[in-house]
Amino acid sequence: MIKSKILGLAVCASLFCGAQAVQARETKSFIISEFYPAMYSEADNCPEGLNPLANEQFRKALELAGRSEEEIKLFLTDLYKNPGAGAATSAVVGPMISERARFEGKAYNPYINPQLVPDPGWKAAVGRYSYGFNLDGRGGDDKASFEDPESHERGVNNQLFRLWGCTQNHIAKLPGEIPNYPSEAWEVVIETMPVWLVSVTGQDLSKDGDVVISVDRGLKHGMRDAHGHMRPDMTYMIDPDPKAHNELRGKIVDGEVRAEGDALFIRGDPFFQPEFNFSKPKIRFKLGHDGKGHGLIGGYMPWLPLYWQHASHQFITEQLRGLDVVGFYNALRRLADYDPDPVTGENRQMSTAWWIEVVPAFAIPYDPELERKASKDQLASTP
Amino acid sequence: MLLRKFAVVTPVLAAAVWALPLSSPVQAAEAYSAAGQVADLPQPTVRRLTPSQYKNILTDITGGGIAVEGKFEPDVREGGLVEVGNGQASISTTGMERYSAAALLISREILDESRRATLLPCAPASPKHSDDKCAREVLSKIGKFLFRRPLSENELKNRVSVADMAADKLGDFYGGLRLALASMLESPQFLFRREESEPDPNRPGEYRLTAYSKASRLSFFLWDSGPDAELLAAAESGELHKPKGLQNQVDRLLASPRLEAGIRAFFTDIMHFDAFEALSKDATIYPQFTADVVRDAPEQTLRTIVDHLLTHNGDYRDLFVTPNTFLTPILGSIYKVPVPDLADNDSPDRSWQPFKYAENDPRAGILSQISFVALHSHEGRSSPTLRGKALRELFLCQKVPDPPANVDFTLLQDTSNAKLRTARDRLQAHAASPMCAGCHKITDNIGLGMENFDSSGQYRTTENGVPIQPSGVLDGVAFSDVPSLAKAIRNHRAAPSCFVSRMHSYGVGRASTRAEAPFIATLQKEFSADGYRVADLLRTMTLSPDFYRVAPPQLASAETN
Repeated sequence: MIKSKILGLAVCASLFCGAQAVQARETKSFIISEFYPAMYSEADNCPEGLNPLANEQFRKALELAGRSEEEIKLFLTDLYKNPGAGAATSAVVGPMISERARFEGKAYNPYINPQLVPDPGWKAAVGRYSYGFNLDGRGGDDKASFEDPESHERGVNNQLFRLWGCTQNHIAKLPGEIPNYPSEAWEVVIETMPVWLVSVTGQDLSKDGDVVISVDRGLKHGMRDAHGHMRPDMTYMIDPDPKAHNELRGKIVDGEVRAEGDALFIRGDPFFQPEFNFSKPKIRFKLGHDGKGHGLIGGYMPWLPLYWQHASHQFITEQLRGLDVVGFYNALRRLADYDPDPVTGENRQMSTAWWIEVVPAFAIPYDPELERKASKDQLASTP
Repeated sequence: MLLRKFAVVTPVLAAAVWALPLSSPVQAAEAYSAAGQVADLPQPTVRRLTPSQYKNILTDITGGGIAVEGKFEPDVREGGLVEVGNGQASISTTGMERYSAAALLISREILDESRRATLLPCAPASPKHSDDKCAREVLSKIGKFLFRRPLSENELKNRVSVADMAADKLGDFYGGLRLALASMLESPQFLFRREESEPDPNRPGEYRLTAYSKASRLSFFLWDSGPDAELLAAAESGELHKPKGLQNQVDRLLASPRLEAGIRAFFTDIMHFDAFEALSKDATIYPQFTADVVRDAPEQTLRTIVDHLLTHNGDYRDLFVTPNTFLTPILGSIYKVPVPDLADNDSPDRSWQPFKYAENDPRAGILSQISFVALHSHEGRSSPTLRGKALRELFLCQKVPDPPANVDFTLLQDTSNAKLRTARDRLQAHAASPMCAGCHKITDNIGLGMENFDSSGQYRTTENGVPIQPSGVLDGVAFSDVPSLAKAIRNHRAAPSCFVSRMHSYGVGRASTRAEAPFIATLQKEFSADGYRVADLLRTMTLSPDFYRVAPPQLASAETN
């Protein structure tokens, strides 16, 4: 069994955090320091094997473009022997791949028009276990659901795991292995993306009881420590944009923070994913002795932003991330399990679960006066 | 260049004076006077410029924008001060090469086309040929600030000759000028602050610094830079030797915002902040102690000091207990207090923000800051011994002997010892050895009072799961925690007297002599009477003729290599 915990949530102590709905006695705030799809990989997840890398699709596109077998072999060898650096080959192959969609005999961009390319198929994961939440409330009766491998809660809805569970660059990795793509992408994006803040407010956070969880976006990106991890106890101003503020209600149960709500919107980053727009969101995490917390955020989310994350980078996505975007598109449509379109009946959202790690931080409201005052004070005191 | 000086002190006199407690200079002066001995007057000093003085002079000349990075030579610390050690420092061959290389680069920048209109008093008749008159004007103007006095006719003539010759050969007036300017930048007259004396007409038979040497002493002491045009003019006119003229200049220097540079340089020196250049912590144990922390920690303390002593004219002793400071977001993460990042990308300085600790916060005072507790710790663990030693030596002027060479540190270094889980336990076991006990009694008692701060400066209440017990006794005054220890230091009688002695040594660039004991005693009395205001102390010190009094040349045996 390969088990990967891809976690991330954080807490910081501050009297300034949101959550005015509760008589705020105590608030701890955190930044989300790790965030990626919650994967629980086992050997029998993929009885038909893993999804092939995109070269199979590339081969078809090149054949369609009239290239000889010898040329195709040369192109594909160069692309995968030297990914990213085979500029000359990319320049030749790229346009062919990027114009592989056909309509009435004309070439079209397959990333914008994936429906114009025959579905190459997609292998989805199967199995008993997956991290996540029981989002639809059906519990173990739901045949398509999983069982949480740790809490053993049944009825876990996590189609995102099913989607990625047989894809080479997304399956769980053991420590020491090359990290999977989502964790790499997260490490890149947090260099510049404003932090995601999580604040827990309750009467006494050392005891079980009611809490309100605020999820906000900060105004600055996080700072790293000497290990390259997110530095704890930094201070972040909260983005005053009301759209950046969310509140979930819940409890601390046996030391674990659990909360849920109707919706949760987090603005992301174009490189990673432009937004995370959860329906029926749930969150849970537990603090360790080092002050960090680990747990999950989950909920249904529209599959289109998931598609956009990969389709927007077009040929590069397929070459470097090793996935077939057209197959991915069709899998998203097939695996979506919530929010049917009233006209087509096709589901528009997918159940997901994301590992989170949180580290303590201070979250304070945006204060333009503070900024102006600091500017004045510092100009006056600068030697 | 190496200058050696010899002072003759009789063994009897030496024994009489050194036996006196350092914390009682008034008594020392009285005892000394009663002994009826002839005072050993101090001699003029020769001090190598510090890196900051070197940079400041060039900034003064050019208005800034000239990059001078790094050090040319390692610092030499003596009597607790680099400013004193520099009086014994020479320049190595390698160092001279660095000075020469920098001189060529800096002279090129000074004469850069963009600066010529504002910096140079003239333009050559032709930029492709020598121009004796213009070269003389330029070198005379800039040379005066570099040498802190007018150039002699010979000095000027030689450099103009170099400039002319090189200009004609290169076909470039500014190329020639550059070489002449570089020769001044690597001259001992620039790199060393050489003080000169002259007979004091107001004290027949005694000597004083010359007016230009006096101007330099004043300026480097108060501004950490060479004299400006007005101070040089006061020296040239003789006004600086007149009480009113001196007072005008002292008041002007003290009223200038540039006094901050002087205060910063002084505290950087007495608090050994140069050690931050080599400070590192074990990243496995202290992942938050990054290069940003090393950069910001001494700056936090300097800002605290400047704000308290200059902006608010506060009592010096309150530096040990003040709740007011300045923090950056990075420092906030170590201190675990909220400090938002308000900096724009193009204005990192804005990230500094004033901060006041709550009434019962253990962080009050400069000794609780990272700049002290982290600097005086080991790479992977705190050190009550180093902290106690630093506290006594830096702020109370009490000498703590170095450990013998054959000490076994095994017990102290083993922080995973299951039986000795706190630093107090380990030190007690270590100090059980009679060889170690003596010194550790002096240092550890107070150093253990700061054990609530780990090696990175983070506050903690336990070590290896065992509660830290920070109580102790400082020279008869009991303390129970960091705030009460800080209070005990604040109220220690040696704290202000040590400060006065250090400041005097810093100003004159050498250890104070016995002849100066009455002067220092007076300064200490005045300091106390003025409520321990540093600006007042500086004024009292620099207005006194005693600050510029030196030995007659015939008593100074000097040898120059």
